[in-house]
Amino acid sequence: MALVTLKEGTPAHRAYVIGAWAIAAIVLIYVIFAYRWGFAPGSIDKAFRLTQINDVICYAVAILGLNLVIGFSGQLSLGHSAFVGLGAYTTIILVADHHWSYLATVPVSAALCFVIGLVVGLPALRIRGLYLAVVTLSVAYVFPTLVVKYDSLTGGPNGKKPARDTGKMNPPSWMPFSNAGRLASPLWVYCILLVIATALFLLVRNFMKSRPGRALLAVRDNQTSAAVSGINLPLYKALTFGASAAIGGIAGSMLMINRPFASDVQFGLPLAIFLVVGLVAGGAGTISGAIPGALIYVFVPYFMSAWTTDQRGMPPGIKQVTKPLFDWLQGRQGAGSIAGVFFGVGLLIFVFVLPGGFIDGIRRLRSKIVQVIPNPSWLRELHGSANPPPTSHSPSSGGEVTPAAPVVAAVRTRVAKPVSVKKAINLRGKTT
Amino acid sequence: MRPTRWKKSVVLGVGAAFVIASCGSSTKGGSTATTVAAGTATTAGTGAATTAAATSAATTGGTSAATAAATTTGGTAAGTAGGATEGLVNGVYKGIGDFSIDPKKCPADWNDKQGITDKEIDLFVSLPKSGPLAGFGLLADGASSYFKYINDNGGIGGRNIVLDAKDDAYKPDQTKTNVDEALGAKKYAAFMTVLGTANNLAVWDTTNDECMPHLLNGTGAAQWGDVKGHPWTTGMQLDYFTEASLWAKWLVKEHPEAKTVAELTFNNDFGKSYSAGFKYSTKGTGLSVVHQELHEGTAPNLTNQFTTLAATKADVVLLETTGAFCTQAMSEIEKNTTWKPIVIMSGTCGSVAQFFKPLVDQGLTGANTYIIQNFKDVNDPANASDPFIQLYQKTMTAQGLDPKQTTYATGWIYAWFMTEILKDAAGYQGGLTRGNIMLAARSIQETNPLLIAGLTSKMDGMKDAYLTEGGRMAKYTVTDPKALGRFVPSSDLINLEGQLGTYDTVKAAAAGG
Amino acid sequence: MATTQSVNESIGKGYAALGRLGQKRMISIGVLIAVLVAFSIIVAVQHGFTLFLQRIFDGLSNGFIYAAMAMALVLIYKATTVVNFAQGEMAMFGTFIAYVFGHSLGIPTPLAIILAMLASALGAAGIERVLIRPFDPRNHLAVTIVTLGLFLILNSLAGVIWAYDNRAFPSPFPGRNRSFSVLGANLEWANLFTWLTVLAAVLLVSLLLSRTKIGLAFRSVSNSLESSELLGIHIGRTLQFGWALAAAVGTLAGTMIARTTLLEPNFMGRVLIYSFAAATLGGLDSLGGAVVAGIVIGLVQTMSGGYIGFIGSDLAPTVALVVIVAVLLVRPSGLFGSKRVERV
Repeated sequence: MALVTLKEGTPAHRAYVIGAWAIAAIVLIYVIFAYRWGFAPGSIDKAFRLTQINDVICYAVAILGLNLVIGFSGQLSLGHSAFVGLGAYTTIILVADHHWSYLATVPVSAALCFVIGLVVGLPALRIRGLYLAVVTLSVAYVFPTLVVKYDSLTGGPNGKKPARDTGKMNPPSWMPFSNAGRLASPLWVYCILLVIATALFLLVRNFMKSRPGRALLAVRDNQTSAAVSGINLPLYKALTFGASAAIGGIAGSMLMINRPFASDVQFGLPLAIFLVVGLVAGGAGTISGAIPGALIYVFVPYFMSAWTTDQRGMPPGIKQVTKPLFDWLQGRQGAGSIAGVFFGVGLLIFVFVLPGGFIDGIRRLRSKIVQVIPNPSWLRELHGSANPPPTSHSPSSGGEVTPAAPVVAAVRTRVAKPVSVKKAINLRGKTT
Repeated sequence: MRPTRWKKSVVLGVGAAFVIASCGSSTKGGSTATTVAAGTATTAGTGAATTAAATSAATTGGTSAATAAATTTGGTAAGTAGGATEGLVNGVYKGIGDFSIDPKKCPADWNDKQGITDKEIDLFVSLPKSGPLAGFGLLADGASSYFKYINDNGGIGGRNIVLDAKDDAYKPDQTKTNVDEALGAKKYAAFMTVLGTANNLAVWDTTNDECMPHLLNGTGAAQWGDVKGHPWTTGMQLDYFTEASLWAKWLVKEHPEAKTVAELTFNNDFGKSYSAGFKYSTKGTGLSVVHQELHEGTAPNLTNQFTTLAATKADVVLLETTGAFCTQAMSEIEKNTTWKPIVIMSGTCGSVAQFFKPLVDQGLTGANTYIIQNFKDVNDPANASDPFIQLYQKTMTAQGLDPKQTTYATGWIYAWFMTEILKDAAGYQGGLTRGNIMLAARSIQETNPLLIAGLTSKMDGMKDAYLTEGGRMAKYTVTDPKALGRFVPSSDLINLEGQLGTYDTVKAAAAGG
Repeated sequence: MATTQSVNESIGKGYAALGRLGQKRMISIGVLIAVLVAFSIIVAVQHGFTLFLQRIFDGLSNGFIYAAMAMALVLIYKATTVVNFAQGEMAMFGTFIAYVFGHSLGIPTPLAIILAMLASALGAAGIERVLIRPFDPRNHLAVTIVTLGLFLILNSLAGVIWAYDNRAFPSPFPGRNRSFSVLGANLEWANLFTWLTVLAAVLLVSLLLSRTKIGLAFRSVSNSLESSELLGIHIGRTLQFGWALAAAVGTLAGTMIARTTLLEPNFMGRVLIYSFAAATLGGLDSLGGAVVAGIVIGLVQTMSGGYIGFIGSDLAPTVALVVIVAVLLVRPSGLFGSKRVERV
């Protein structure tokens, strides 16, 4: 049972929602000023760490785009890395060869990826399920090959970057941190990326709450029923691919704004697979799941690799436990690969413990503290009073699209139903 | 759901911020944008290619161990170290060969003594420790083992050399991340032996802008001779373009009857460098390339390619590839009973243990394959009495490492150069500083004891930007088909010391041809 | 709006036409064969019949390699309707075990391979019991993530244990490195035996599935999970059998492949994409289809790479993948896959 119970629509609930968003905003803005105020957890006053945080923002957008296709429309697309790469290369080629400004290239890469996404989505109208997965996997596989083949345009295996002394994003002088020396550029990039990412997240969130968004969920849950109900299947499926590709392309451009260097190995099969992993780890079918997914993608391999190469950086408890392992590994060729083993084991543990993803875990935690009784505005109007009809509790705050697990992705209706979280996750239970 | 007013204004506000941001941000003025992929005199690239000298170290030298260069690492090497004339003079670093460094051109927070204390000198390397090229990760272990030997014997004026390594899995973007982190940490005096052409190309602009000595790159690309544009970056290996020229010279001299040449080329700059070098050097000779087969790093095997190449019935075949592909290529050629060309292979495939042993396990031999060698093979019994190799074996065994692992020996080659650089720098005016380290790196006169006899390793500032500039053709000779063979010298030593100039010369040669 | 409606209509018409094309099997097959024959004649006349035959042999060799692994993928799919990303790495691990048996313990190669197949079957059964069974078989995404995690673990573990040096995997067949001549083209004995082994494996597995009780259970489960549950078939054990069988076939395939590719932890990764393609092209639930599709892909690669100049060997894989998409557009369930009926 939760500690606090809130009814939607009451001032207390409003305060809770606004408070939560305010805390998030404060944290995000604190990053900008951390270097001035001395207190910088996780060394966010270092340019390197800021660049990593910017990476997280980029990959969160990439996973958001992937979510549109996998989480919200139920098509298994493993080729997202090709669109991220396409967007990245569009940006870097325009900036390096034609001296565009970075931000001007973002709409171009979005448009280009949208068109290509539509083209790729056309076979998806006819090919379904795992056949589609393999076809999209091939797209992800072919993209680096094409990059290498057309190396006069893309720089081939050597990669592409802007000419020396160009291609750096510097803040305008009226920004408070423009005199922060080496931190100025990463902080400015952070601001820009945050603005773009926030816009995209809000866009997708509002879209999913709207009628077309619900149509998409209907397509995911049962295509035939959706078609029978009058939803225009080819339109939705193709446009979803296009939109997802466009968002992926924007993510690629954002990556280039942060680190202006593109090479073929960056955007190949491993990225496609890890984006899916990040998606599921964050929480498929959730919008906010993209953020933990991106955090996992950027930081877990980094720390695994760092600790494998140099055990000094490890937290003390883990260090003692793994000492015999690292002693045995000393001097072995391929010892660095142990990082991959840790990552894979972590992934397995994760899937067992939190099959709904990180966000699901957060929500369960939150439901123990705060519990919101839905009382949406239209229901209030219907009943003409502030009292909601009697319902049993439901563990999540109203308004978000929340399939708790990929399998039972029931569209949450506005009338609360007694669905407990355990049943929804369906860990080998006999219930639906 | 009626979108509330405040939501609309948030959206407008975000959009406005976006527009303001794009107008407000500035990028520094751009000159002509040059893409990283160079023109014809191209460089080695990624894929699954290995570009390090790791495997070329296991090539046999063969002859007399009484090389003048095989001195112990006590430091008194042949040739002059930088005398007291080099160093910090009136605020500018002056070296030999007109090379100079003006610290005012470096960033305002550049610290000449960064990474150098009374107790320690901190060095950094980024190389693959996981993934398919993880074998090269042992380079760092080998280099560290040499540094440990030096540290146990007094270090550099009492300072210990410490090498920090980070894994980049051979991915250029990961190398860039690692280098950015290392630069930001403000902890290191110099970088050494960063592996991979694409990897080094991804970072060399940054290291030069930051005035970070970026020394002894672990690849054979010709770019590292660009002393004008990138004075802080140096290489070590014989570059692939020149290696292919040595092939051409050898063919013209020793096999004038050969006319047609077939090429198997790794589809990246590594393979294409060889191809360009060969094409350049065979102008005006009777040799002509009749067919070139490209292959990807992801190719499972080379059967298709060799069917096509065998159909050409060429006199010579060039294996411009590396890694497992060398073994596969040799095996395809040997299994073909009708086509018997002269086989010349990239020097990166010289490790007998790594690339010829799988052939023996398959019942083949790889006999009569030719490669260019410039370093001695520590496992060759003919070199057993070489004093430096004996030191190597003794030290490795004492430290609990396997001396037969030739990648460790390659680490020793790089570490030896680094140590000489540090020693020289300590003797310059101004003492051991990063500027002097850079001068010393471009003034090397000593000869590496693991170089085959007759070769020298000299750098001369702006005039000679390449360290290893020679080699000798050797033939893999097999006496017992069930055992491994050895490389036997098959031509005179070609020493091009001082003739390669800088990257400008190489580029002009490639373009002009 | 009118434009979207007309666009929809034209898309619908296009796909309907493709569907009809797929149904007119005889005609489409006939046209295809005519095109291929014409291509072969032109090319053989222009570049020599011997080279043509040699390329056919190369294509077949590569094709059977892809087909061998595709079989394992199809088996897993038939059992669980999940694409097992870890299949390649399990096969790689099994091949390493065979190598260790042969190299360090001195067991003769054919026996080492059989022992490794048994070991990997046992290992796969264990993996299914511990890692897969806790999940609802209908929860595809979770099981896929588990297989991805396995992929990472096995690949990295192999790297740590055996490092990345290339090793030669010995051939279990007689006549090592010897080839015989067929009309001027060279065919290695080992290649011929590989083809025969793969065909024999397909035959044996088909017999196993059609004549034994466990095979019957397997087919029932792959047909309909709910009905099998109602019939009292133990789903878990049947799936376990499926995993074990697939792992054994995978190890066999791996040992065939390692002969030409050389053994190192990433060798399966280079072949796997083609095997996935072969399994998809042939129909994810058709064993014979996997073999046919594998051969098709191998031949397409060799022929297009060899004869069509601008494609060359580096773009040949792309060509193969384009072919697959084209075929799937016409027949969305693969060449021989069973069409799924969607129920509301």
